[in-house]
Amino acid sequence: MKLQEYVMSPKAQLGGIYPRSEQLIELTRSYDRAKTDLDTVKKQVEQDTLELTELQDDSGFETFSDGAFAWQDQLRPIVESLDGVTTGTRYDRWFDTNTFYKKPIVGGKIGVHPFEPKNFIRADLLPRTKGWKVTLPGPYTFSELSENLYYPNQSNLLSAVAAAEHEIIKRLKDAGVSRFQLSEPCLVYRPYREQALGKSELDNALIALRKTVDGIQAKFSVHTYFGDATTILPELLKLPVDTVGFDLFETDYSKLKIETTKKLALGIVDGRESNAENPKWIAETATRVSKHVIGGDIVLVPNSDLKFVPRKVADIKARALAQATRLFEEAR
Amino acid sequence: MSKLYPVQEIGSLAKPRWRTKGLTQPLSSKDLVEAEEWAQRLGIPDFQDRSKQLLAAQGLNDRVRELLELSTIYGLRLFEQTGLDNVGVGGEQQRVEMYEHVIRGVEGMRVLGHVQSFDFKYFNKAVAESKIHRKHPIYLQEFLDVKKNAKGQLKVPITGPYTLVDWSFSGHYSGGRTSLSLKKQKQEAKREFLLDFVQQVIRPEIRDLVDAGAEWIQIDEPAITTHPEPADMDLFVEGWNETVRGFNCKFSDHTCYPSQIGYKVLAQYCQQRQYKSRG
Repeated sequence: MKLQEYVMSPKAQLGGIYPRSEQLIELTRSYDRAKTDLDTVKKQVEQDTLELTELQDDSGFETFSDGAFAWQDQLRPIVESLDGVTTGTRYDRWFDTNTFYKKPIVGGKIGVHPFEPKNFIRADLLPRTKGWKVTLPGPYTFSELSENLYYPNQSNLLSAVAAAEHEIIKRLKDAGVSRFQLSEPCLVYRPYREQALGKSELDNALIALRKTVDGIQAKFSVHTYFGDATTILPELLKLPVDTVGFDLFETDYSKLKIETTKKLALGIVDGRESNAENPKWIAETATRVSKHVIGGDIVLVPNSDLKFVPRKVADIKARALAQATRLFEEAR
Repeated sequence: MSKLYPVQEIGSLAKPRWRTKGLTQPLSSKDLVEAEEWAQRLGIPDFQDRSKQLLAAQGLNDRVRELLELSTIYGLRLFEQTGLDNVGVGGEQQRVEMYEHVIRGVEGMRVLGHVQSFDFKYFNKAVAESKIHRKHPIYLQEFLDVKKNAKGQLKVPITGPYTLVDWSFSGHYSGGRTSLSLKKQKQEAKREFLLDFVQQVIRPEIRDLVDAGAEWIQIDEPAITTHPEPADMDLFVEGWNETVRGFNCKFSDHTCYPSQIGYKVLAQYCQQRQYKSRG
């Protein structure tokens, strides 16, 4: 009965890069030292993907993420699908975490070259009866985290990135992906910039997001994390996407009054802390937040990728999310 | 007259193969061929005696002790011959890395598992499972070896409490008051954790080093320049001043890999910090 109830209230989703298992970590380290072959690593990537699929299935998720276990960082598969963009050997810090990404260098006109959808999603390992979700950095975040050596200004780069992501998403949609999360932490995480996000810059970011999703018959969520989304939420809710997400550990919702027909994705388990949130606490907190929302529905998600915690911690958090959705539904 | 910009060692030096292998396996004279070549270049006259002792060492502990001291001597001689004005601790030859080396000496911390740093590189991340305290001295033996063997000016690099806290899960330190927003609860938790790290781990360590003769301690705090927000900067200053309070020692700060404005913001807060304390 309980399992059936989970399936009846599947309003939790995972997104982004899920942490690799200790077995996969050991094999990738061994591969790095030329002591393991690539095929062995690939087999373990498949095993990790299948395990996460099973976890989502058991927990009653409706839309499945594949965990992106082969992604080296949040930007890399996009970079590797583009002409005009390369990565050198320079790593930059991923916001305020102790993790790093290879900085994209834009040295020419951006275009999308043929790529394997498998680079973005392991459709071959996901159940056909479920929706599939891919998480990409939004065009604003991608352009902000890149080094621009080609376009005359940041606005031109942003527009080119949006056009390229639009093409990538179309191809992934054709490959069967039904939901796309566009992560835009740069809209809310500002310490690395001296200026606050100005109106024209926000407008450009919103135009780029519209351009990215325009005309594609898929579901989209725009998700912010690592910063307080309070001031830009009203603008994000006007975007042609069905879900807008924010980081509840950074966003002070106490003064919010949101009237919307969209879904709000609450980043309610903390991808940067190992404490396993209690499902009851998650449900109660979601209920408190929902009192500030008129009309919209709630989706429970991690505040960011879960790659910042070890795998066993992420598994507990993912299961807690699913259990909390049931408790949340019961309390409504 | 002292130099305006004395050239200093600030961190770790790559470890020679014989040092890495010898930590887990017995060495043969073949393993020490490279060490012998470098002994001539670096001027280590008692290499033959030391290598005999190393090869003859029966137990693991004896071998490791010989190995770490010898490796430290190589680091010191290399820096001395290079002409550095300050040779630090000879390239941190007695440490594996800067985070786990400390965490394993702290009661209440448990290594939870690996987290990706970049590509196929990972670091072990720990959680505070209970109130923390120091299990045993962490850098003292290394400093005693350095003090015995160095010819130049020394400086002991230690990992700072803000960075150790920032790179760990706070676990036991939960921030208490649930009436606060989640963000403020996290900040409270970080403060409780930081101040305990200072009192229970870092200050006892500094006390041991100062009592053993350390006159200059470099506190490595790479995490702070990734958090240039006022709340974190204020917390960092509070932790720093509490760390160095009352010690008869010179302190310096080392950071790296900042966010775009990390150094600039850090500089703004420098005047609020103490660098030289007198008991």
